[in-house]
Amino acid sequence: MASTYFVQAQDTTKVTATTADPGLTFFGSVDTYYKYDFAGRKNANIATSFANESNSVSIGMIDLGVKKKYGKALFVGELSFGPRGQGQSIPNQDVTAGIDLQNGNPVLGTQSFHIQNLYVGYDLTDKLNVTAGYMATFVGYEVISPVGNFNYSTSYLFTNGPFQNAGIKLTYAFSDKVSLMGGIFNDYWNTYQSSREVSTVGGQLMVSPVKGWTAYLNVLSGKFSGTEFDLTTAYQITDAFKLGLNAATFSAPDDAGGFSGVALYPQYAVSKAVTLGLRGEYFKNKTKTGGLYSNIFPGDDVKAFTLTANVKAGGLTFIPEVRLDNAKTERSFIKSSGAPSKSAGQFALAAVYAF
Amino acid sequence: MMKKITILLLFALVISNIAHAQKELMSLNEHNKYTYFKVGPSVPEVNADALAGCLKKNVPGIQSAMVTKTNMLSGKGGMLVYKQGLVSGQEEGRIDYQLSVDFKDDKYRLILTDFTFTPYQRNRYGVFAPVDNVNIPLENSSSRVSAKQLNAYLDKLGAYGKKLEKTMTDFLFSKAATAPKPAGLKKVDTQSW
Repeated sequence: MASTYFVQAQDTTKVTATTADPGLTFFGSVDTYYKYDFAGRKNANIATSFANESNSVSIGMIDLGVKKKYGKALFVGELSFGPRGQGQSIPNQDVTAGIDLQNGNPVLGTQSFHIQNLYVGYDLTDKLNVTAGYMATFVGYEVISPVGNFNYSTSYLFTNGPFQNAGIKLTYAFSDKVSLMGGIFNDYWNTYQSSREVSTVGGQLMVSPVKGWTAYLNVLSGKFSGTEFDLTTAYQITDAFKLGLNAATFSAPDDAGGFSGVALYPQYAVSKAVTLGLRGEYFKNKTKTGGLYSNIFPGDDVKAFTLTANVKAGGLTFIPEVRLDNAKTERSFIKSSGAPSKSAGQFALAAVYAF
Repeated sequence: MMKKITILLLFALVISNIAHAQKELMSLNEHNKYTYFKVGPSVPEVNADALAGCLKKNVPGIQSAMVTKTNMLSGKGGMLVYKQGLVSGQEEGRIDYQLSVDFKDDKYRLILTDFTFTPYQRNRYGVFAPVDNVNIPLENSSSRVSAKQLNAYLDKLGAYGKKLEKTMTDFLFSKAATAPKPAGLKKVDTQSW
């Protein structure tokens, strides 16, 4: 096993650390799944991100990344291929193949990959770092990569929030318990370039009050992208039990509604290889919103309960999952008969290999 | 050709044995904590401040080293550990430690102990970073660290302790090690001339 040595940001004693060059680091994952919608619907009843193909052995994505950090400089480049990593990660940049009339999404065109991260970073001082490029968003609890989530299906808060932001940000680490980030980003989320200008501002305060507990207070605001306030926190209370929480509220530009919600993530490790987790989420589409958020109508809300197991064997994680969503009205889901329903459920079996 | 392959295999075997032998340098102290413990000969009147400076300058990973009492030096440091295998360069975690060096009766006592493990995980930005500020004593790390990983970490810690000790002993037997005598004036008898 290789080792190298480091200097921590909060070190008040100036030291000279001789570090060995770790070389290029490769990482990535592949994932595949089978999902069954309890209403027997072929098109997903529950309209959160990814894993939307029902009664099919389907694929997520191949994710490939490369990074190097040596001295003060860092770069990361991460690509993904496949449905999860392509059109489902962002509105597909290539819309030449038209629009799917069933769901309004762009039909996947000739593009066959998606950039998940492409950025460079530099440590200006021991405590101050600057990073610029196209990066995974700092907002929210869940992420695009299945390696970063406990549950295989995603929350409504994740689905309707930002996935990536292009911009430049500064992060100051007061200590390993407190850091502050501020940045400016392109006018819209999830696009490689701005539509008009760089006009979204964002900030993140990280605090770690006690060992095992980290909390992030996030804000992302722009006249074209809207404003989201977000709290993301996780506490490893005991060796076996971890509790996560995500709460957010989004206001669309021009007072055009938005969404709000909260999700709780208790997880319990029953053994070294097996962890059980429950996600309980409440999500509301604000009344003034002019459209749907994941098939949830303006003024409606949904409660979603997801029971998931992670069974690990080396780099492979096997994920069985059951999910039940219950909306306020009968407009969001459909029964097997085609009649509207207040509830929907699904069962999924996924396998994720991370390297 | 066979001769070359045999030599290469023997070389690999020797290197492997050397690497694993470093684990034998580690022990458990009276509190059942993993410890790198060495006692050896020293010189009288060690310049502890200079030794602290030498260790900080030449031993990678030392975050602090300072004289805390007469003839005693304390500090802390750490090292990153990486995954091995198909993909390399991925940080698996960080091991922190407490350092103390004492001098008495022309001997030194070097102790590295209180090892704690912070697991790393790939985050959303594609870099490997500490997981939720989790930090566990190495002795109680079985929930995060397999037996094979622990053996490998103890190997690395043994090698690290050995390297730190060598840096220290090289310094002790150099000219810089001895505390400078306080500058004094010559005493003269002005009546005798």
